[in-house]
This record gives sequence, structure tokens and C-alpha cells, in this order.
Amino acid sequence: MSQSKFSRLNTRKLFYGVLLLITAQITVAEPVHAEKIISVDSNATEILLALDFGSKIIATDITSEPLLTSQNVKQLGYHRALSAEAILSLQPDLIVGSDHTGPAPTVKAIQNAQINFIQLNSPQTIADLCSNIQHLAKALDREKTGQQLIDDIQRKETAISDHHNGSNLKMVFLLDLNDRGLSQAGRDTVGHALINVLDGQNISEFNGYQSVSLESILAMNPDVILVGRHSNGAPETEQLLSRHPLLKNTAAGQTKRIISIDASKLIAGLSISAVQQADQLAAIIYSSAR
Amino acid sequence: MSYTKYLPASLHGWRRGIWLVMGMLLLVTVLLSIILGPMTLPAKQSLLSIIDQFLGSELSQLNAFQKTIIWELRWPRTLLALFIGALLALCGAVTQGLFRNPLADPGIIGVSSGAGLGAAIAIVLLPASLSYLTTPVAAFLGGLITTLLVYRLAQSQNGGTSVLILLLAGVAIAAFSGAIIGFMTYIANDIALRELTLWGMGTLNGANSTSIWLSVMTCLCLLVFYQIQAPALNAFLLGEAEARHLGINVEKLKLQLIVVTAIGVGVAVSATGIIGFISLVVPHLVRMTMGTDHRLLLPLSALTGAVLLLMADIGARVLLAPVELPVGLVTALIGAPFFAFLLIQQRKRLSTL
Repeated sequence: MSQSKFSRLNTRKLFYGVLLLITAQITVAEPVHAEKIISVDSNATEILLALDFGSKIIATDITSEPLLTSQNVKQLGYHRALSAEAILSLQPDLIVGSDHTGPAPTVKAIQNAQINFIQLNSPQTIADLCSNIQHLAKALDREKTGQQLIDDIQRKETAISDHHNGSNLKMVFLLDLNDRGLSQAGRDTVGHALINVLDGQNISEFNGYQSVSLESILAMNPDVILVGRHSNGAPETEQLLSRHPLLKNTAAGQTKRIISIDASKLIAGLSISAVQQADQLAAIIYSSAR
Repeated sequence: MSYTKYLPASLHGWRRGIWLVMGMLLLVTVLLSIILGPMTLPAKQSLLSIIDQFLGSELSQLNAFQKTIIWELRWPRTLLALFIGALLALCGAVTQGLFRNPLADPGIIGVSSGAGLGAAIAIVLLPASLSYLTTPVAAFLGGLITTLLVYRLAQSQNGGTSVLILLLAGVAIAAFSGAIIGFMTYIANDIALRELTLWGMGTLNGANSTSIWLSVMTCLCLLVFYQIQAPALNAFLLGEAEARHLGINVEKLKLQLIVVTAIGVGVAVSATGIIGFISLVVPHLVRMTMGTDHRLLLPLSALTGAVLLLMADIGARVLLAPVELPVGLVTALIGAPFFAFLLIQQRKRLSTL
């Protein structure tokens, strides 16, 4: 067991190294002096806030809205249906988006207008997230703060693997956003990424989110059930159990490892706050495992 | 064409006046569409920039960036809105004439549902990186194939086509493709799901030179073709048998009109997604004010459709700026109440028909 853990950590380190090398190649050469930033990706917004650029953000997409408290930030709507003219009319020095930024004509218009435009990847692993942070920090000349952030994230990652101590739990991520049922996170989802960060084993074999019956969850008998809910205070664990009392019969229910988490932090891939959440989750999950 | 003299006389006195009014309205709307947008540009300078563009003069004091906004963002959208609006309204007018049914719109012969099905398959099953290409092509093919299928279903053994069966076959095919779209929605991941929803609401945001040229050429071809068939469509209003007695090859005409309409709507849908209400409301609007003579109804519908869709798009860009609304939402939001208002106004006259 300890042998496999060792090799996994090593592969991970190698992966970081390669990724950092790649990002070093693609980062913009000159740091941008950004006074007016538009961020159309909630993950990027979070990184910008952590790098202390929050006051420079003049407009965001709808998923970034909950992160910003300032009243002066303009709303640009859904990040896949942005209006080119609206973005250009704000005359930003820098636009930060992701591979979800769209539609294509808008992206093309931004590129034609020769405004600094950084398109990050939607991170599925901690390594992706770190490379995004490094990329942005370098472009904005905040490499030191960026490195501190990365160090902090990697500390949390180590803490998580210290917590789980080699146990390999079966986990499932459910979205419980309305009264009509549950939707289960398959591979290629942020729910899956979160389970990976927790070093758990996702019981889903399919891709994307699929609605599932209670019976199939009972049949798979997961050790941990993570329930994503809206940030505006929808169902907590207790409420979920009162609506689906049969979940108490799963291994997760019996060891009280049905845990509700804030789904809004997981919209644009694995974010800084998602890693934070994972850190807290690991403490809960693995303390009750012992 | 000897039968034309039996058809209702056109409203000659109105003719010149209405063309003048609509022409002016078109001009004003185009100018508004150039001037208005989320970015505030000085109106006078923007207008001067239009003169510059066409005369090669240098009157406008806009900088290069502001000119880019006008000529690379607003102008292509304006063109696309005009020709898609005209195309949709034309196809709507012809479908209503062909089926002698005021509720008919191109959706009824299966074009819209087929196009929706094609787009859903492309968005959900084909690789996302190619969706800018696969979605419009699949939508176009889907529309054409379902239309031909509906037509084939409606053909009887002696070679005739029953309009009633055509309508019912359209309903059946629409229900079937609706179910498959539902299935696609069910298995779609959350990204494709959102894309699918947005596609169904229609937007002119995707204006590029290909889509503009395609819609301009299609619109002009259809305008000419339909205009040639306008007297025959007038004869159709009397009933199929009557049209046949007037010397029209009814079966050939029906097939031609259905296929051409499917191509027209297919092009429109593939360029912009589904934009509702223009094809249903505009022909009614024109018919209520100008009468049913297709020689006048068709070009006027095209003109009105162009103006209305452009107005709706200006609304979509400006109403919630900097957020942009899907234009299909705006056409439905404005179109539906307006249509209801017209119905109430004309209730007495219509109930006697």
C-alpha cells in the first residue's frame, strides 16, 4: 500500500514539473499593466482576487458575481454567450477567460481588437489549477504572491493525503438542486475532479451528470456521499435524508459521511475554494473513518 | 397567364404609399442599428462614418477602434438580421398560402423540428471543437430530410398530395423528432445542454461572411422564384381543384414550393438557430393591412420581416446591455402580444371568414 502511494506522489510531482515547464513557455512575455480587468470565468476571478487584483475588476460573467461584493462591477451575462461590443465598450486592458469563453465570433473580435486576452484551461486537477495561477501571476507580475498561493494549495494537497492514509473509499457526488431527484456526477465533471482530489474512488462509470434512481445508489453502496447544493441555502444533509431516508442504509449513511457542499464553487472547474473545501472535507471524511 | 384577371384586384392606391413608408422605416432601422449598441458612440460621427464607407470620404472623426465596432460588429449583424428576417417572413407567407391555413408556418412541414433534431445531434454527439461547422450543416440537412419525409408520407397512390395528411404527417414527424431531441437533452452533458438551449432561442451573434452571403443569395433567389409563382399561389387560394382548372400543375408546384421553402428555412435556421414568430406573424400583419394578393404580399412580407427582425435585434443588444438577449426571445416577447392585439382588433372581420 505504501509503495503505491509513494509512486503516485512521485508521478504527481513529475506532472507538476512538466506542466510548469509548459506554462513557462506559453506565458506572455511582457507583464501586463492592468488597471481595468474583465474576468469572464469564476475560477479566474477567484485567482485574480487572491492575487489582489479584485479592485481592478470592472466587469465579470454571471458565475463570478457571487465572488465580488463591489457594486461597480458590470455584469456581462453568461460566459458562453458574451457580447463582443459590450466587452470592447468597457475598454479593458486585460480580459481573462477560459476555454469556455464564447461564442467564437466574440472571441475573434476580442483578438482582433488587440486587447490582452488570457484564456485559461478549466482545471480538472490541482496541477491544472496551479499552472493557471502561475500563468496569471506571471502575466500580472505577481509571481511571488502566485507562488505563495501554489505553495498553500500544495500544502493542502499533502494534508489531504496525510488524512486519508492509504484508505481508498468509494465516493459519489450528487447534485440535489431541485425536488425532482438526484443527478450523479460521472467522469469529466468537477464532481469527479473533487473526488480525485480527495483520493477517493468515483463509483460512476459514465460521463457527465446523469439522473439516477435511489435504488442504483443503494446498490453501489458508497462510503461517502457528497451532495452539491445551491449557495443560497437549499437542502442540507438533514433535509436530504428526510426526503430520501433510504440513503441512511448506505455505508455513507451509517458512518455519517453524507456531506453537503457548496456547488457554486465548482462551476468553472477545480477552483481555489474547491481545494479549500476538499481540505475541510478530508478532515471530516477521514476522521470518521478511523 | 389568363387566370390573373379573375383574381382580386390589388390595392393600387395604397401600393406606392406603403412601399414608401416601409422603405423609409427600413432605412431608419438600419441607421439605428448602426448607431445603437452597448458601446456609446457619437451618433452624428457614426452616421458620417456610413457616408465615408460608401463614398470614400473622410468626414467622420471616429478613431480606428470605433470604426471597427461599427463595421466589423454592427454592420454584419445588421445585414444578417435583414436577410434572415426577410427569408423567414417570405417562407412563412408562402407556407400559409400553400396550405391555405393561417396557422401554418414553416414548422408545420417539419423544417424546424428537423433542423432542431440535426442541431441537437451535432451539439450532443459530435465533437464540440467542430460544432461551429457541424451544427449549421446538420441543422440544414435535418430540415431538408424531414421535409422530404413529410412530403413523401403525404403522397397518395395516385400521385396527389393531401394537404390534410401533409399537416398531420408534419405533426407526427415533429413529435418524433421532439422525442429524439428530448433523448439527446437527457444524455447531454451540462455544457452541451446549455448550448442546446441557447441554440433553440436563436441569436444573430454568429454573423460571419459565409452566413451573410449564404442568406443574401438564398433570400434573393427565393424572392425571385416566389414572385414568379405569386399568381399561381393566388389561384391556390381558391382551392386546389380550382387552381388545377386554371391550368396550374398543382403537384409540381407544391413539391417545388415545399422544397424551396425547406431550403430557405434551413439556411435561416443554420445561420441563427431558431427564431420564432417572424414567419408566423409578419405575413398576417401584411395580409391584414394589404389584402391577400401574393404579388404584393410576398415582397412586402420580406420587407416587414427584415425591419422587424432588425428592430428585435437592436432590442436584444441594447435592452439589458452589456448582457445580450437571444433575439428569438425578443421576437416572441414582442410578437406574441402584438399578434394578440391585432387579433382582437380584427376579431369581427375574421370571425366571418
